[in-house]
Amino acid sequence: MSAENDIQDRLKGVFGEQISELKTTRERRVFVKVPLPLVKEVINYLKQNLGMTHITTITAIDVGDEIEVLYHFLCRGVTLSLRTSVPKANPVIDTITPIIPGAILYEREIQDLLGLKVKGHPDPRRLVLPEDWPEGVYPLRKDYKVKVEES
Amino acid sequence: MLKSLTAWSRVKSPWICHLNTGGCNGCDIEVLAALMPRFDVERFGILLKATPRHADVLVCTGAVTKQMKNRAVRIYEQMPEPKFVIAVGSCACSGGVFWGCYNVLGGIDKAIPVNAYIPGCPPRPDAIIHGVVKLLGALDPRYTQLLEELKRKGEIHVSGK
Amino acid sequence: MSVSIPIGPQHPALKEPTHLMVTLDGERIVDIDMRLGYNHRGIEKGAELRNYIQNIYLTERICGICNVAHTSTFCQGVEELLGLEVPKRGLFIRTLLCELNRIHSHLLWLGVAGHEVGFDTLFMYSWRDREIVMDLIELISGNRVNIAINAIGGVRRDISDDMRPQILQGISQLEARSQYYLEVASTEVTFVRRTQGVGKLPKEKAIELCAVGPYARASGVDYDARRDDPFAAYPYLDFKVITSDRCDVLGTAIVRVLEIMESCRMCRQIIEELPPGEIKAKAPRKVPPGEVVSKTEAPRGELIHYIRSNGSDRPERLKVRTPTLADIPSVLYSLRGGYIADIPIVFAAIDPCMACMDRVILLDNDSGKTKRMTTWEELREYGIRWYANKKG
Repeated sequence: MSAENDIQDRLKGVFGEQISELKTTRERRVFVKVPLPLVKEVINYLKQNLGMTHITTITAIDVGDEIEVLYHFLCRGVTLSLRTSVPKANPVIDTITPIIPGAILYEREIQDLLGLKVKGHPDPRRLVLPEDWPEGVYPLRKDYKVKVEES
Repeated sequence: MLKSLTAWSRVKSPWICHLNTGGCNGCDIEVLAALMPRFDVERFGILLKATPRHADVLVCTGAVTKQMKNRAVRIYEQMPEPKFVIAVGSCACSGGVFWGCYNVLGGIDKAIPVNAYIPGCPPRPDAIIHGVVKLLGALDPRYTQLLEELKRKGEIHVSGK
Repeated sequence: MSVSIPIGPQHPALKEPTHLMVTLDGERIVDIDMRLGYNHRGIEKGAELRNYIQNIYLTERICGICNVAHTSTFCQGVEELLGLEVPKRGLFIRTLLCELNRIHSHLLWLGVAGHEVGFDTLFMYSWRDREIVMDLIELISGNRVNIAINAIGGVRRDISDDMRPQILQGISQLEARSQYYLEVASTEVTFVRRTQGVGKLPKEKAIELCAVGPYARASGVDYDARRDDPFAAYPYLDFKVITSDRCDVLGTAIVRVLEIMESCRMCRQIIEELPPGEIKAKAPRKVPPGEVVSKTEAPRGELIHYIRSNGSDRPERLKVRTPTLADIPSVLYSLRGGYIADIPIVFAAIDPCMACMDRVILLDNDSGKTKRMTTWEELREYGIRWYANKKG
């Protein structure tokens, strides 16, 4: 049985109905969607049982009323992308740094650029935007329009 | 007479300071390649200094990000007169590929006055040397002679004028 | 009594701007923090406003040194979204340039590392040898630094038969030179003294903090996207993944030099086994809706592009995570407990592709008052003097 199928079957076995999407797009690429409250439990399961050792990055996308958050993990050579959604009106997620310390800078990045609040983050400062960047303005949200200065 | 002597000695061996205001490093490695054994501008007395206080010419690369703007101004102010600024690379000239990106001002001349522009992405070390020497040639005709000599020897290739 | 040093944004040798805040206790580093963002240009947002073809040029300029890794990752991702199969010859040429780029990047690093420890001869030598690689890259692609070989569907330029002898000759020269650098890295006293036992990063910490690239491989983490997540022509090539158990800066130097030699072997194999055929498949302008995670091994480590498309000719979202960002928590960890004299070389060990360091501010840990300001260059010279005095 291939690693991708094994991962899919085991996740389905443990989390069953709670997973709203589970697909393998090609070899070494699996996408899973879970509701927000289940995220930490799934990540713990990946680490303890599916050999997850590494987080590649965290992507956040503004899809309208919600912000979709994707965690890209490495489990036994397979890149598993764990997807969840948060409402834009209340974009709060829990930090996963107690489980994976390596996620520390990626969480700061999505906080900075998309305005997600990462609860419990050990160091919630700005990562890339300048100090004088206005609060509450998130450049990677769709409603932020780039202003081109005419010289 | 003393004034022209100081001017001549300064122009003869300009010390440069290099500043990257948020670029991709492409231009920076070509600026450094100009100092390396193949092109070796150090034999003309052009020395790379770390601090702007010792420099005559500020070589700027990179599209100016908002964080770097104040620092670029501060570094420019630290340089003693007479000072010159060369913008190396398309990003330093006008913002290059990043024109219109939200954290980029677009061109060094939005922050500090520029004396010479060397476009390219990145410009070859030959082009950088040509630009530096041309700027200095505008200050001292001896440098135009140096440029002609380099062209004649085939050490730099210049198309057009 | 501790002091805190900011190491700020204007570096003499190539560097890019960054800002380090170092809290000292005498000579030892108690804590260290980093401020990023001087190089933040807003590329991910810019990518949404440009079409896929324009985005090739934009992603290429994320980093001038590993530009071909970025365009390969991007084009690969878009090709997957389109369901396009790139002809084998195109994949081989793409891989050849990725490997030449890797050699170029590692030689550049070797020079910078030499400069940081005060060994400027190594700087001059390795950058001179870099010119061999630049000539080969210019021969194949037309440009020295920004390779621009990738297009969606394959590569832009072909390798003709009369290029082959020159490429093979260049590779032989590089192999001979890298043998020399291996000796220098492992036996040259000046270099070894400054790098041995410095910047220690144990394997468990490297895994926990998710380090990537030669930096992680020098701590024994055996992951290389070329072998473990093959892309382009890597499934057809024989190569070894180099790891080391040294867990220090000297380990990163040795890993990189050995990787240069492996890359030379791979380049030779590519040239000898280059299949005939087309170099590019025709790609439509509009990309059907979908998402893709595209991964490659850039010279500095694992590079990822996440692309989401929406059916138009512009991406909905492009997310890029460069390997340097992944290594930062690890390098800050390895600096704690070390000496300030080691900051330049330990930081250079991750092969930072961000921006330069500028001002260093020394702060007193107990009183919190600013003690003195220095520049990166002064810190580097301080490190050289400190080690010279330590010996005598």
